[in-house]
Amino acid sequence: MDVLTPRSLEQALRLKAERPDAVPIQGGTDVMVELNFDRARPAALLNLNEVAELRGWSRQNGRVWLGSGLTYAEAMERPLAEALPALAEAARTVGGPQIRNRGTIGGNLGTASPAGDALPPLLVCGAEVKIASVRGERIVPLPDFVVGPKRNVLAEDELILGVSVGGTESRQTFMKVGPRNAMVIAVVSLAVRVDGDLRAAFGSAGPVPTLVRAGLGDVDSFPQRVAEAASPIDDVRGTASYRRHALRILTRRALDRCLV
Amino acid sequence: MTIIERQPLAHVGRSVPRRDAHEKLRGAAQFVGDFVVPRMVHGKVLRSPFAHARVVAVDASEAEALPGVVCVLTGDDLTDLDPYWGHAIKDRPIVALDHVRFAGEPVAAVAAEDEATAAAALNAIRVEYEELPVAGTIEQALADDAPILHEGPLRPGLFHGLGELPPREGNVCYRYRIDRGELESVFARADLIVEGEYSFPAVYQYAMETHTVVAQVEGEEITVWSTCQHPFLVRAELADLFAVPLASVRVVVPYLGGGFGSKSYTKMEPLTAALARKAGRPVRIQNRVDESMVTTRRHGMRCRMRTAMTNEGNLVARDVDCWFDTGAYADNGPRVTATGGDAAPGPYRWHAYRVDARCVYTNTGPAGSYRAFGAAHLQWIGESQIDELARRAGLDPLAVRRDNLCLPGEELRNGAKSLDADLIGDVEQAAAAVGWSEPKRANVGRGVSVGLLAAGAHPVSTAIVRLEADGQVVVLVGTTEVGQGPRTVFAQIAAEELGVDVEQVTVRGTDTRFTPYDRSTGASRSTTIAGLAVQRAARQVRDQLEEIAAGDPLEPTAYPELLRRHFGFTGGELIGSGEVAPTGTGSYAEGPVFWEVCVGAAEVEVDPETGVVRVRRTATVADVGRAINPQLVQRQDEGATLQGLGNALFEEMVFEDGQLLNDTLLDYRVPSFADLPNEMTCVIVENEDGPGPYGAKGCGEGALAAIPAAVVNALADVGVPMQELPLTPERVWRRIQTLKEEGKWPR
Ligand SMILES: Cc1cc2nc3c(=O)[nH]c(=O)nc-3n(C[C@H](O)[C@H](O)[C@H](O)COP(=O)(O)OP(=O)(O)OC[C@H]3O[C@@H](n4cnc5c(N)ncnc54)[C@H](O)[C@@H]3O)c2cc1C
Repeated sequence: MDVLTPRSLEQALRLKAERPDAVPIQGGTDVMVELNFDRARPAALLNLNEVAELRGWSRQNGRVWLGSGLTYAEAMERPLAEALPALAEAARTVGGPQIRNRGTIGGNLGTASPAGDALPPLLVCGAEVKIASVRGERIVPLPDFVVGPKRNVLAEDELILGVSVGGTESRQTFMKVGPRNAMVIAVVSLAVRVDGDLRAAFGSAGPVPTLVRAGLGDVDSFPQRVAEAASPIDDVRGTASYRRHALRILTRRALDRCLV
Repeated sequence: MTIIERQPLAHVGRSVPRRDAHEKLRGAAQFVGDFVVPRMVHGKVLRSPFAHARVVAVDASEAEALPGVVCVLTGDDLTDLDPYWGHAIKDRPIVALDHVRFAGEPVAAVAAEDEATAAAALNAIRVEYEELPVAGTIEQALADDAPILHEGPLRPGLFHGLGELPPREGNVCYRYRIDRGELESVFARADLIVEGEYSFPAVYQYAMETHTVVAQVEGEEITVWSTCQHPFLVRAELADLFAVPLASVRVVVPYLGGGFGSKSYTKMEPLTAALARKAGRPVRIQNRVDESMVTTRRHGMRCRMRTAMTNEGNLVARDVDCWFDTGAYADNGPRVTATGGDAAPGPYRWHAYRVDARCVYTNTGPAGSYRAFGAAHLQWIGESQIDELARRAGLDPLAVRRDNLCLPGEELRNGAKSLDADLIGDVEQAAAAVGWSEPKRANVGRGVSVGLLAAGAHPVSTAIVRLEADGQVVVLVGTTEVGQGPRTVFAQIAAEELGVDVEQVTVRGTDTRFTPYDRSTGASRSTTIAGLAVQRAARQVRDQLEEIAAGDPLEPTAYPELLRRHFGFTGGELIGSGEVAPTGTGSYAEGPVFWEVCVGAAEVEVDPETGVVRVRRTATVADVGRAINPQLVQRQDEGATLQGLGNALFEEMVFEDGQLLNDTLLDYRVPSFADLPNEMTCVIVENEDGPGPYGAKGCGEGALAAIPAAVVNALADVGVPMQELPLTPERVWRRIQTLKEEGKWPR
């Protein structure tokens, strides 16, 4: 297997265009699991860890830019954690310290799992994903970026540069129900934001993380609407009906927390 | 409580630091996976994808032709052997011959120059299967038209320890029954009867280190470096299987990265040795986690139980039927079933009781030992019935226990050792530690539980203590350091007897070529039995020193001088040996060596809207007779508490048609530190009533039976009685919904 390590974004995009079969790797916390379990045998890895342009975060015209290489540990640190509290809360629940030090937002988007914990907080904050290739750049709203379980709109020569999010400093929170207190793929997870309107996004309760919106006057009916928007399945982690019920309860509690 | 005059001891009773701490913290400790033997190659196992199938043909020719492949082992290579093994029942071939009985069963194994080549070669082996109907659950295995997994009579293994094996009945490979008193007439006269059906999940022991074996076969000489808890039993099984003398088999056991029963008895050693025999080179096989999960697990169980009490609170009768799911091969199932049967009545004074426990073959991975087996299976059920009776009679559950528990010295069952512990004192301390009589807020409940575990296994251990010319002491003893701390405890015992510092004593791992016999590391026996052998061996050395000193006071600093005087030069050593063997008839059934106390208490809070159960406080009682190293005792109880909370709240192996669905640690969850209760208390009770050195008796398992039972009782105290574990949020929430429909919630 070849490991390609570009030193700049330009190099990275060129390599991806030349070797579309190269699998991008950032923290490797998803990619390496696939390799270790022999579920994937890529001919090449595109190691993005030396591409400085993908790292860190910044403020841009009232929005926040998160590089695709931003780790969960970084998302938990102030002042970013104050700007995006739901993302910080979600980051705290991801894996153990090792996973949080390595795992990235870009990797979570790349994997596009229905259970990806970064996705609900990004959804309620109106995230837009910036994608690039040697052909140019494009911006895709997050709800359009994830198109199915573990499927996104990336073309084979494209890389994720990062996401731009709004809704900073608004009231927002993240919750999940799981049998264990940490390091668990949730039975359901939920982010809620109250800021001009009501927004909720859930994970593990449908093929893709999903955003639900309503007016501020709909506080009472909102939990039910969120539960109805879900299309969960029965699996080892829980049944569909429990997931729907738990979403209703979590939404109500999240609203209580945001509306104080 | 009796006040005991203690002799002042120098090392025993002190929390001396672990002797292996430094080595382990530096990462210098050697585990089997660290061993590299000259010319060693790598083995990988081809496992059946089907839960039940005929093996029509295995074609390894393509795999054997791959560059880097040394050989492929299949059933055809075993025709010169009787290829069946199993310490309880010889029901298991080294690799599948013509029949696979669980998904994950070894069908062939590859030895290659490197792991990647071995893995690639697995894909080149062609196996033709013919699928058979699957008995994936106890119910399916007991159905009239169930596929029968094993035909013909069962052959007893070398170490079943259960007297005559009863004949196989369908898929029931073992049955254990007790019948005392006039059961039906006592039930007929009883005022209150509780009955129910219960289900207990299969779980994985999850030791961090997976099963790993390096084997080398040269002529009759077989050497294995293995992650095994019982090196001498593995030696005997290998000698039997390959028809060589015991002394030709050498089992070397370094540190183990956890065991909890998953490494008791024989596991991957026969397959690795057979592969090495064919390869003509040493072979290493290291399981992945998913492979270890189908190598061994805990028995799932179904149970029907009823318990009767008088209005005044006298427990009178109990009736138990239970079925243990042992998977495709018996492994330790018969012993687990018998121990479960023994634990079922609990330590109470009954007028009558009946137990009928069956061990059932199913098309799932084999089940074996797991910390506190038997007691863990049944204590939560029996104890929850006693709480339910107490609630119906309007009595305090603690008072019911006070009135009915057996007292020290009282007979527990015919012919068995009488009770050697103060259970009432123990449970009162546990209850107090979780604030038994304090007021409770809504949705908070408290529970206690009491049980006993027949501990000690067969009491045969030997030890050798060598006093070297420089005054250093070496202890040779066959106990495996699984993390529980025996090397430290034995060093303390030897240091105590010889008056030297603990740092002067070295205890290493087992090498059956040099280490004297010890039956096993399990059943909480090592400190009690192997510890006694170490104490006796050290005393023999001390006796020799006294003789040499001829009346001079024995000063440890003068030992080198004494030895020089004795041998006439600088060199030579004093050797002491210690032995423990059964007294009386020596029957295992007559035992146990001691009763391990399983007493605990818990306080929980339930979130009725989501079903999430949070454990606020726990307490366990380590009734150890004498704590040789109090800190190690506490760590044992704390570890078992956390493991018990995982068992109670979320651990469960989920099978569908015999296929394990959650075979990764993302889906099979073990507790992490975030799951610790807010407050965790371990009470050490020292009544010097144990048969071990200084009045000690074993510990470390009891809490794993006690904690799930206490949690179940605490949840029932909130108003949510549960008959199925684990107590996942969804299951608890569903139970609350049913209770609502029945008008029983909120209570
Ligand atoms: C023990 C453990 C626990 C975990 N717990 C959680 C959890 O609680 N919650 C959760 O959501 N996840 C969890 N995960 C999954 C994983 O950690 C996250 O999905 C993480 O965000 C992945 O980030 P990464 O940088 O490691 O991604 P990588 O593994 O490097 O990549 C993931 C995917 O994204 C693609 N990719 C990466 N970067 C780019 C890019 N710039 N452009 C295009 N494609 C790209 C890769 O090709 C790959 O397909 C866990 C994983 C492990 C091993």
